[in-house]
Amino acid sequence: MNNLSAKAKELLDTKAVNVLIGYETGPTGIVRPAFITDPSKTDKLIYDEHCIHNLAVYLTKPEVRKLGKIGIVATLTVMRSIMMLISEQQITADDIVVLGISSDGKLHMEWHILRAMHLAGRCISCGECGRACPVGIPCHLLTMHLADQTQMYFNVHAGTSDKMKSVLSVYEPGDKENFII
Amino acid sequence: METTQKLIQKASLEKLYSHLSEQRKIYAPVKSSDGDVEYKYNPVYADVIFDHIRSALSVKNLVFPKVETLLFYSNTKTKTTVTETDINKIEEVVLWGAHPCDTAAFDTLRSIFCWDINDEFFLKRLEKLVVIGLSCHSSDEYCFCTSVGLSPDSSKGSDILLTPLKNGHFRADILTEKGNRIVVSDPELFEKYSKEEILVTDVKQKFDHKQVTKKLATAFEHPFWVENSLRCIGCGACAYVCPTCACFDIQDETKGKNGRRYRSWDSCGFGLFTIHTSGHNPRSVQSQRWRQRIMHKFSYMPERNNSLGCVGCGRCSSGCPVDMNIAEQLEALQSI
Repeated sequence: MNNLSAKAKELLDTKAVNVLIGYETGPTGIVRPAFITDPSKTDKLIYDEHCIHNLAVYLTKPEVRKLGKIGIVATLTVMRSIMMLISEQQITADDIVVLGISSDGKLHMEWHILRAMHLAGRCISCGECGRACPVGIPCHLLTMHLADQTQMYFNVHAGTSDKMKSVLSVYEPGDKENFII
Repeated sequence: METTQKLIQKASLEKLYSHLSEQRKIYAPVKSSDGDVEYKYNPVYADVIFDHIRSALSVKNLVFPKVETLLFYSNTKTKTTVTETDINKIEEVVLWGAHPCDTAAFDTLRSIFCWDINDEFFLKRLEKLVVIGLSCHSSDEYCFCTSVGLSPDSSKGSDILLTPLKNGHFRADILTEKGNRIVVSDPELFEKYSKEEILVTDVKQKFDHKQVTKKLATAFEHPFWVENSLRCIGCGACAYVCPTCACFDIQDETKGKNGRRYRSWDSCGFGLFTIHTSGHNPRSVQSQRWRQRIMHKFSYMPERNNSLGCVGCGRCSSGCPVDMNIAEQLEALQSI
């Protein structure tokens, strides 16, 4: 049993968490998100370079929340998403236990632009939106560009603290105004 | 009409293709710049491919466009003038080289678009469509046509079905009057056929759809739905790549005094699809929406439309970012 499975088993056995979100290999050999509630089934947890899905997406899903306290396998991008969700009060830190993994381990364009604007100052640049698209629209380039812009104009990058305020929802007297048309 | 079988030599396909493309717009499978296969308007035979397993998107847009204008309107202070879309302007189209799962989907869509009233937009497009099907000589782990009552060489939905032969040529099954008219206008290309060995792939049966339908009748409250949809992120990709999904939305788009009413693809997998003006949502969480997707295709449609809502193309599974594999789930569903 690897370290990850052992730690997950311990968390489930001691009821420190009720569900563990990680990665497994599905029957067709594809790596996918896994939800484990039974401590005897943590053996199927894996972690390798194919584990690219940003698992933080599940922390606000009602069916997952209903399972109780959540343990989550988290890479740096997942942790940044978690900080963003905490700072926006979508989740509280007490609800989750993070199993950190160190870093070495053409539809409608208008819609994509609308989405990108909603994510300005909130996108943590994980690139998942581009990867998930079945027809290869690189929509992450829009959100990443806006992330660069908020960095440049407000010196803020989303998901770097769980105390930060949403950059487009708050006004600071020192905010630059030179880019406003 | 009675099906007749003819031999068409590989070298004759190009002639047939160019004759067809002279008279009508022809859509065929080609490789896009990023390596995906797409069916698109393509008068150049040299670009047509024959060896693909599945295109990224289905071909349903030929009968059910992503966006279809239903009417135009213009307003004055006292009056609104409505101009309906003239469906008689819809052009004849040839679809070349569609696989049997995709051609069968036209019948499935007809059972949806005509189950209570006849959808005239859909029907006119279908009437103007000529389908040259192509049996599959290869398949992959996502294919499951044989589990939904079809096969890699089923002729459902084709006007002419081409089946590759071991000798490098093709058998042409002439299935409809539309197909026959093509033969009549190019008789020298269709030669006498005597039995040859066909080159068609085997697709393993993964589940029994009748068994699935039977199970679903009592499975509405089963914990299966929540357990098996935890990883679904509700992105809706499955519906957009599906050849039989037919959910749509209707919107008015106004610019100044003029505007248009259009319908566009939508998905019952989205939370907004069912939300009421009151704020109440009868399918408020993703597990209910996943259940709806399966129930609609494998329970409600067999009961109401006398057809199955799935053709086993496997696109929903190969296109899913989190490996929600429908065949795997239906196989599991059989034994709950």
